[in-house]
Amino acid sequence: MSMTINKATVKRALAAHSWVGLVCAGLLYLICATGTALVLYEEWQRLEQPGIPETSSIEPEAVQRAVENVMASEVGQMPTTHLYVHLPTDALPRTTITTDTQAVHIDEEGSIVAPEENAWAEFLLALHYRLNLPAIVGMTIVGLMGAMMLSLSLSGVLAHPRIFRDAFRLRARRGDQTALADWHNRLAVWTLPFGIAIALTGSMIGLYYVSGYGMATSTYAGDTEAVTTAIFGAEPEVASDVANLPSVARVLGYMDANYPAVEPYYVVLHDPGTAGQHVQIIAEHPQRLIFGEYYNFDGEGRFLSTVGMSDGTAGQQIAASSYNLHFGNYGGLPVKLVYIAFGGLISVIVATGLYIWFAKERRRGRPRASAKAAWDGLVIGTPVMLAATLALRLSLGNAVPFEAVFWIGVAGCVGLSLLRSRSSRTGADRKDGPVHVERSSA
Amino acid sequence: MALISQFWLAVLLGVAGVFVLRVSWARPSRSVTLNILGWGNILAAAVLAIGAYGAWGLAVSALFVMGTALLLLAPSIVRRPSWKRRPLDSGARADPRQRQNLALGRRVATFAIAGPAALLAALLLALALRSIFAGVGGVEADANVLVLACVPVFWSILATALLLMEHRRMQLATLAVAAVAAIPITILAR
Repeated sequence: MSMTINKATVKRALAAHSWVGLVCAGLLYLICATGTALVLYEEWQRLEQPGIPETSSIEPEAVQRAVENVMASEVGQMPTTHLYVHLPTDALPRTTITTDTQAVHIDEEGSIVAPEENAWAEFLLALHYRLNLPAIVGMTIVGLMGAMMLSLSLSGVLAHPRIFRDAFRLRARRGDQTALADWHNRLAVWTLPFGIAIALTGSMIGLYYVSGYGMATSTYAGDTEAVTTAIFGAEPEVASDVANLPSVARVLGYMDANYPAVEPYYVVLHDPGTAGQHVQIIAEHPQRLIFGEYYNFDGEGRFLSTVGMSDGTAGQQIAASSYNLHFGNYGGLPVKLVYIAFGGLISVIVATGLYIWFAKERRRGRPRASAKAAWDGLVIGTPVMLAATLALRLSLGNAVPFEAVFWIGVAGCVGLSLLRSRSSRTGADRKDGPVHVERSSA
Repeated sequence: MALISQFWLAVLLGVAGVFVLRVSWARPSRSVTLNILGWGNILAAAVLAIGAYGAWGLAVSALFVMGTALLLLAPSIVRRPSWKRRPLDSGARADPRQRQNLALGRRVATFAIAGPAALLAALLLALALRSIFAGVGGVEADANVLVLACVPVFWSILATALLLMEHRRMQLATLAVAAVAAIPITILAR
């Protein structure tokens, strides 16, 4: 199959592809590389704290005891506004309770075992989600990069009129720029559906502040919460009078009796211990892309409603599917491994894209040695520093300042690569120099 | 059980489709029949996968199709070129002393047009679409998700289209048309 795109359009598409690639490559590479590592988010947490008791399930009564134990441990403090119980899943077979001020692991009896220590996994999540920046800035930048990845996919397709015809043409052993271009193009073609899915879902999530602010301003008189309330449901009114804790055991029992086909993995207590408290269960639906459905219960443990993530409007189901489709947690470890492979390939596509540009520039007589050295430093430095911070976590513990170590380390790799490039160029100049002098003097 | 069989049949058809396309595109001349057969298999696989498990079925079966195609590239990694030729990047063609005209102002303007200006235009277009959608009785949740999905899609298309344009005036006119079309719809629909 060939496409009939005229040469001028192809040339301009290639220029647009290069232009967007040059502007976005650094951040895009960082986001792709960290996203690839983040696919194993749950597995990293298990690696960080290997000694925590694991179980495939926990009795509802034990969950009830655990909630009471955690609430009792916070008596005298500012009451928590939310309490999250993570129930054991295949990927993370642990029970963990998180409040506004702490996160603790729970054993099968409902006793507190140890504080949760997963600082590296959280650092990785924050790095990919918001580049360790404040959420509004960081997520927006990541969202912008996602949209630019879509743009790169579009201009990339337009720039290659023989994209299908050449789809299996990989001259990997040519050892020149053609091989590099073939790698870039072939990998890009065959990961195109994956790349578009990742970029679209990532930019939908990341550009929420832009899209949400636009909707809030134009439709909801500036109320940004109203935008998501329409999709994910509303929080009930707060009533701060003291009340007994809700019966989580009754709620879980109801789920077991009435929704046996779904798999609850989160219990969320809103305003626990107050008259306005209510309980939400988030349950996974097997063979669905949605992250789950919300099942709402009142403070007495009586079922109220579902939100509609599984059977509501198309928009609700699409919104609920975007997270799993992006992070690859909808088919167990096999799908995760495929996501790691494809994520790695997307990182290679970004890296080779810039190397193709450097090679073209060199052919045009503009070697761009410093820029290429900096790119070398970033391409190698990012995975190296991810591995180094993980090694520090495993050897020194949870308190390592991972953000500082990572960013300083990456900057160091870039600096080192620049120094090496400069010294090798200076060395080459010196080598040329004396030879020239000797010949002159002879 | 019937659903799982249907899903695996979809996977099988998708993988077979990739193999057929591999054969078709390796031929010296184009084979319309093989192309139709290959793409037809992939299309049938998508339909069957959606029929079995909806979006989940499509997502998982697509991973098989992409994975198969990438595996078919693997023999090329070890295959040596059958003939020698001068490497494309063996030497500089242009005069190294030649400096590229930086044209910084022009580049900043291009960035501003394809970046923030196009993003704003995309947001306005998405909000206008939301207004039209809500105006014809669309559900609020769907209307809001429409904006969340359309902003990145519109922006990426707009940015690419603007960068394909040769003249600055054409770029500005495109942005102006998008804004002029979107603003009244958004305001009127409030």
